[in-house]
Amino acid sequence: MRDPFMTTKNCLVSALVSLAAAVATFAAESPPLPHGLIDFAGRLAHQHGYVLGESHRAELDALNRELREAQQQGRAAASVEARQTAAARAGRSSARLLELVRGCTRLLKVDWTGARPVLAAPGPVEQPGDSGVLLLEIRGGGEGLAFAAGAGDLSLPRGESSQVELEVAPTGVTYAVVGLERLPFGRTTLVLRLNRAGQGESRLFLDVVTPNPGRLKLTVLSDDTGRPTPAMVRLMWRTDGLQRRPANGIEFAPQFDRQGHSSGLRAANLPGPLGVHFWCVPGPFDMTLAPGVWQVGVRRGVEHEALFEDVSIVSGQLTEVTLRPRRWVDMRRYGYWSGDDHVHTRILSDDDARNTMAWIQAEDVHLANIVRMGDTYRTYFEQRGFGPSHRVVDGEFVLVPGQECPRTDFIGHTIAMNITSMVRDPEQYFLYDTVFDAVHAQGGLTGYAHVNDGNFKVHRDMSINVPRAKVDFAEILQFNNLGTSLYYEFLNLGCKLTASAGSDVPWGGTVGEVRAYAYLGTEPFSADNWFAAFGRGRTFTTSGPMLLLTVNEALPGDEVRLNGDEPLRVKARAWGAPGQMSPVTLEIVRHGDVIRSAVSGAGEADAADLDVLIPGGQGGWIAARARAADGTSAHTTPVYVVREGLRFWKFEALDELFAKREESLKQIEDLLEEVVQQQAQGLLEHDRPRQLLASQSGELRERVALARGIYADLRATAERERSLRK
Amino acid sequence: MKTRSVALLSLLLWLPTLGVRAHDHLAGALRHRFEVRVGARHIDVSVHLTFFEAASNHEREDMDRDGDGSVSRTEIALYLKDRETSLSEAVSLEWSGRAESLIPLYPPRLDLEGNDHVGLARHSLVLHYFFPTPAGLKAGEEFSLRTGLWPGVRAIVSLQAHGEEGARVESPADNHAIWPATLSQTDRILRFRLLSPPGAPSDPPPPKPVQIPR
Repeated sequence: MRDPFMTTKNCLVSALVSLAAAVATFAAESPPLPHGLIDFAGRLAHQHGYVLGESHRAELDALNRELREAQQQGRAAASVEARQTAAARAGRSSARLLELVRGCTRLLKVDWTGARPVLAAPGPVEQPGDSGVLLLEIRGGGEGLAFAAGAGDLSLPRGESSQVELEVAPTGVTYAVVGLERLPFGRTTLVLRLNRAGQGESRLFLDVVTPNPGRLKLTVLSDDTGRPTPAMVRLMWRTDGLQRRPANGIEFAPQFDRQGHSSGLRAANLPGPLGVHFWCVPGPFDMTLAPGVWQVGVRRGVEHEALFEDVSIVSGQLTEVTLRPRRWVDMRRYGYWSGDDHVHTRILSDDDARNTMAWIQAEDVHLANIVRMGDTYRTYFEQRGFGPSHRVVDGEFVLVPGQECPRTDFIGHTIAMNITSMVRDPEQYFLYDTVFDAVHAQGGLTGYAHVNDGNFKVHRDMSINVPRAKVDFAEILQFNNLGTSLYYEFLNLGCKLTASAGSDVPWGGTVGEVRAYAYLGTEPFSADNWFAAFGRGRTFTTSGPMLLLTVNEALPGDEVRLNGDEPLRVKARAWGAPGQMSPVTLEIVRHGDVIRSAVSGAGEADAADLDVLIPGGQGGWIAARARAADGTSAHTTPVYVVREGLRFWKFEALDELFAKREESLKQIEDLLEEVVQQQAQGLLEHDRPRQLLASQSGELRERVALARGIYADLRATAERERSLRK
Repeated sequence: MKTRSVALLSLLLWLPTLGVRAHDHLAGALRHRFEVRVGARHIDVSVHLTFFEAASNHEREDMDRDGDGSVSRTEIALYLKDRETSLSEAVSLEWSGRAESLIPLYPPRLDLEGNDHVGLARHSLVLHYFFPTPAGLKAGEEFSLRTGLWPGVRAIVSLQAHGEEGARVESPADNHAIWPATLSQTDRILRFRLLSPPGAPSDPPPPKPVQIPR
């Protein structure tokens, strides 16, 4: 009987001969490279680069790229010569990779030249922690070279969890990489199920052992108080590049009412490292972790710089880490306080309230409009109640129950803030003005959601109720997408609308990823003061850069009255987190057109500033807009410049603007005609939304007629203004 | 480079049957997060795709070959294997009149986020691509990243571009967009611009020459 374990030299020569044969085939026919080689190299380089030793990590990555480039080069080759060049390149890389693998001290050798596979060294295989890898050389009889990949998840149900399946080539040598996840501490016996074509399965027991874990105690400090604070935290083990949930990471899934099917693992809709996954932790935690280097990430909302630090965890030792994300801007000093108009979480208990409060404190958002959502059937994200007695206040942070209802796919979604009871009547569901009036009667504020992307045909109800002054605000920023087309259309008709922003979690990434700042000036922060400022339109929205605007000292939402063509002094400033958002481009927008712009420098103290005199002309609306280099953006509510006797609209575009609104109203009428016909034909038996729409069609038509009357009046106004504007 | 994934096209026809549900526009949507790194040696592109509820359900149904209502590791592997070609050809880079398919860098990683059941859920798929940095790049060079990943499905798309080894890159604001679902199957195009090219490659780790026995 032959020695089951060849010498290293002999085996290497044998493998290289097989490799040469495969490469020769590659050159002639292109592909194949040895079976499974590309996948093997990719997995090794991506997730298990450490297994060949840190000194070879960069080379392993280069070899993986070389192999893949050569493969593509071979596929695209139009001549034998080009194929041979690609093959030679692939051959060099694969031979070097094989050399590295063969020289790896962690390579497990399995001889399967006999009836059963035999492990050369049956002792336990050390793994770095709760994930790891097996690198195997399985040698059968005969010639051939193949590569395989497998995986074992030790969290699977008992009986399955220790099993790892692997396909082995029928002859020759198979090199395999097997990723292991969620390994228990200590010693574990794995069952390697080796499948060889035509020879069935053979099992091999293999013990793996993990080192003693260490402990991490992490405390995040507020940069304001120096005391522990809730924060968004990320723990990523450098060894495998995967995340672990912090010990006290809040699981929000139950509070999401099974809507959105998401969890407490939150990825913000923000660029770059800000958009990776984080957990909300309410305070310090102490947890067991595998030894090695861990990336600890901490985010605390847009006014703080995100921190990413590598921390070494040592077996059997406690590592204490305290991080203090630096506040790069404090908008409270400017009189601006942040809010998120669109947060869906159930709050039915003090625990629910504590969780959501921790989240807004972690993201440093001072006010969250916690919206109970409704449709024609039911409500979601239940609340304990509405009004001041049901607000949850913790220092300068407050949760205020509100509503997102009515919301239909036919005419748009609406939001209400600062309500004392939820307003929802299915029998009047499509008569949005009834809700707007009731909310206003409660002292609340009304607005449209998703205006940034024009979802749910929101332009239709906007065409009815914006000119009737039934609505206070519009969400123009969501998912880091600033969308102003619809917003500008209504501003250009001379309708006032406050700019707002809402994250729409759980569909959005995290609370405050977009936010609306309201100017309270020197007034102390409270929900009432915030709503009062917001109600005056003193806002800007942002996903990153900060933005200030005054026109003749008037703030966003204010009116500047002109008696003639007087000059206006426009002052604006935009700036962003140093190193992340710079440079920031600032634009002054009048009637939707950019009339001035400036770009900030890249330094910490740099800002884009404009201080300009512009002609007041015949009035208009003037807003500031900012775009940061990282793709985040900001927009203010306009300052409305009203020339005596004139509306602040975009006079020269009125025909087009009126036509758009008429088209929206016509769409509503067409829809109503359609559903009324369907109702008459008995087609709506199972379609409650359309049933309701049909039954409310008469009243909705009245509102369309009302709006059309307003537009007719506005046309008449335009005619009257024509002579004044000459 | 014209093989395109059309796996979710039927989702568009299927979604209306859900009736009025919460946030249907997102339920059938995908979030595409593109990250581009321009270095002296390579341009790396990673794509993090998040499949929201109905979109996730649709893909899970595809994964669940044995129809037992849950997705096994083997089924995930087969699902990815089936899509290997379309995913590998789905993203290309265009500049100066050239168009090149990006090369897959690592095997795709699919994460069911702890829920292996077929049904409304959420999951992610991470793809990595690369391309050798073209020689002679100049400041101001415009690049277009053309993606055919699930083209017929509503998408929240963002691209973040970074420069390394001396390169500086900017991505315009319209890379952060919400793309409506479309039946036209057109590719999405994201742009970035080189403000300054990378320096010369530093100390490459070339494969050592190995004598291949004949």
